[in-house]
Amino acid sequence: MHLIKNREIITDSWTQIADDTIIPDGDIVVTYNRWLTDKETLLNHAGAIGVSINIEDDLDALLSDLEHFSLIALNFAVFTDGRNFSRAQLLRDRYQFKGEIRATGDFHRDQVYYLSRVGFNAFVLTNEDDSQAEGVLSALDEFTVYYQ
Amino acid sequence: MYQYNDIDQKIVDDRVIQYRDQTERFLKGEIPDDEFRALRLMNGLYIQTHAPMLRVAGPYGLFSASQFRKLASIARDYDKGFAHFTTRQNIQYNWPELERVPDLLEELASVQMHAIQTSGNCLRNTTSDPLAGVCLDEIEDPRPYCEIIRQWTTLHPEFAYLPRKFKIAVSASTQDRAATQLHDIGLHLVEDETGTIGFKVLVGGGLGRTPIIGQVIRPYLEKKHLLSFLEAIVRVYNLNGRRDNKYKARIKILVRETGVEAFTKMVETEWQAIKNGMELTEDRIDDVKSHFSEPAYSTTAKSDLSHEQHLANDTAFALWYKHNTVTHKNSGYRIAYVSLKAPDTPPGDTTHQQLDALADLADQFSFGFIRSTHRQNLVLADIEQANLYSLWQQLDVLNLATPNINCITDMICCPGLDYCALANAGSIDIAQDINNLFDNMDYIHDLGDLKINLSGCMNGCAHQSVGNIGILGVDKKGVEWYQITLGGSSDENATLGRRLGPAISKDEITPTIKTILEVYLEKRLEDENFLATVNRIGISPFKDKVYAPN
Repeated sequence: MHLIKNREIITDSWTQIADDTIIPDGDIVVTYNRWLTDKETLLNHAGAIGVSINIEDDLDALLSDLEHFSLIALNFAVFTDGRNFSRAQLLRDRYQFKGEIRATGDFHRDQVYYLSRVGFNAFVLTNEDDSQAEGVLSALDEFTVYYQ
Repeated sequence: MYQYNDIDQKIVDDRVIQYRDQTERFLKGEIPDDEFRALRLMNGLYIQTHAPMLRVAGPYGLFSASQFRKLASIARDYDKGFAHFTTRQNIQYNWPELERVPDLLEELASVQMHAIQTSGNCLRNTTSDPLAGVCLDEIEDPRPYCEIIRQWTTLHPEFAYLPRKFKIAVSASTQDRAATQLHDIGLHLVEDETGTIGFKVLVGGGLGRTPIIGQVIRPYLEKKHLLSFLEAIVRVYNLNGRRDNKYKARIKILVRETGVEAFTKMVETEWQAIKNGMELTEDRIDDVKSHFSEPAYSTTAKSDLSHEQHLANDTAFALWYKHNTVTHKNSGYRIAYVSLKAPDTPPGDTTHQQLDALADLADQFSFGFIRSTHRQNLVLADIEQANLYSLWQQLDVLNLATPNINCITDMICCPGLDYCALANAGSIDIAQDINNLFDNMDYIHDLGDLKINLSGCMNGCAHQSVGNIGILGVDKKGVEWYQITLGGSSDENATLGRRLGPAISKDEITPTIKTILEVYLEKRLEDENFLATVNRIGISPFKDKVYAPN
């Protein structure tokens, strides 16, 4: 698994936490449900907190909590579902979220340019192949000018 | 006409490079079929019955002569010599090889053209009035706004994976020649009470399996807010449109299921949040407008008397003049339609020789511009009356002067089973049968304005539900059947046709059309066109006659 963040291939320092595991030390990413359920406990966590959001999760329910997150992972169940493009745009532009917005799940190299334009700055690549990561890096700069 | 600047050119050039890389990776097996499908569709490439089909964008239907020459050379080099004009003012090639499409795109880019977003679930080519800038009934030329929308839609990063395709049309005239009420968004340039021009905004129109007429969600929008309002609509759609069923994914279904009032409120709320950051400046509008300034019209054009003589002496010319030309805003000029509905050719088809010749005629007579219409014809918009006779003679030689604009043989027709992988039934052969039935021009002209729209499947590419006579091909256990509707219209009084009755078999189509026309001729009042008669007497008299036991 590769992680590209801010146009660099890096090692992921975040630990993804399943809903039924005990919270470890360090920077953690919890699910949307875990956050809503364990919010009071998580607010006392020493490390940074990220939240992973599926498309069926209600983004509006988290808007008042954005200050607590250093990372928001928007998960793609299927690459043709474009709702996360608008969600990222809203998080950056409307709600001024300054932390990491990470793409996870079923998205592809040929989408990362658009994803970066709407506010994603991190991409979790499921394929282990190094050439794939290089391809994604180059795809981020496929266009140098744009209208919007 | 809009001329690309360095940024516009760079965008289409970069897109060619990107698509070439995507094609190469696909051919090497590095991109799976389903991923490449989405990528190629966003570049207008379908895999069809015989070969891929590539759709090239015709931005609001405006072309230069040099672009037509390029379209001709592409028809020769990549197709079998043909180019097909569509109801969205675009061009389709039916035979390009997938491997060579990147080269084709590079050729298009060399004349400021592209195939970006001509298919796929994204923002499509913006269409407009083919008579923009030259007709009598418009309050302002809509094309600068179309160009502004073209740029905003092109490679819009947020809206490339919408629930379904999304189409915008703009009109500025009392007569609606762009079917704006049948688009996802229809924009009308209108005046407010102070005489300031802005936009009336309609949403949720569309054809296909669930035809719906668009509804006004904002009676007046200041020009400066054009893009923010469009962005608000498309964002609400992107976030809320249905993705569980592709037949319910268009914005028309969202508007219907949400209710137009609630939907409007969602859009207004979104718009309030973004409107101040996205204003169009007057400078920006003026800059784009400067690309559409009037050509150098002759001030002495109206003094020509020769065309009057030709009209008196040559009945064939007079017939063409009457049916295929319309009034230009400048006296001394006419707008000439180029009919792509000759009896022996598939509706909307042109040959490479015709395209080259039309480029020459445009240079010779019409300031070097050609337009395409949503009824699949072409327009030479600025013909001096002194040149009409010569133009007609040359069009006649080219088989482009059939005097049938808006007549029964001026059919809108999809490619049907002959080319399209989606089709359930033939459509070109039905068009041919209808042409064979109506080979008498006097009879055709006596029938007057009568629009037949003919689609080979429910997707309705030929807009059958708004044809005065709509014909829809359906498949019943492997046999081609056809449903007929009457009374549809896509103009300013847009109406959906009403179904005549049970589907009829292929060999009964032409006898049925004949019966329908007999009823019309019997019932019509003086000067009453077909649509008006249907509206007055209803469809029962037609139904009774068509389904009468023999």
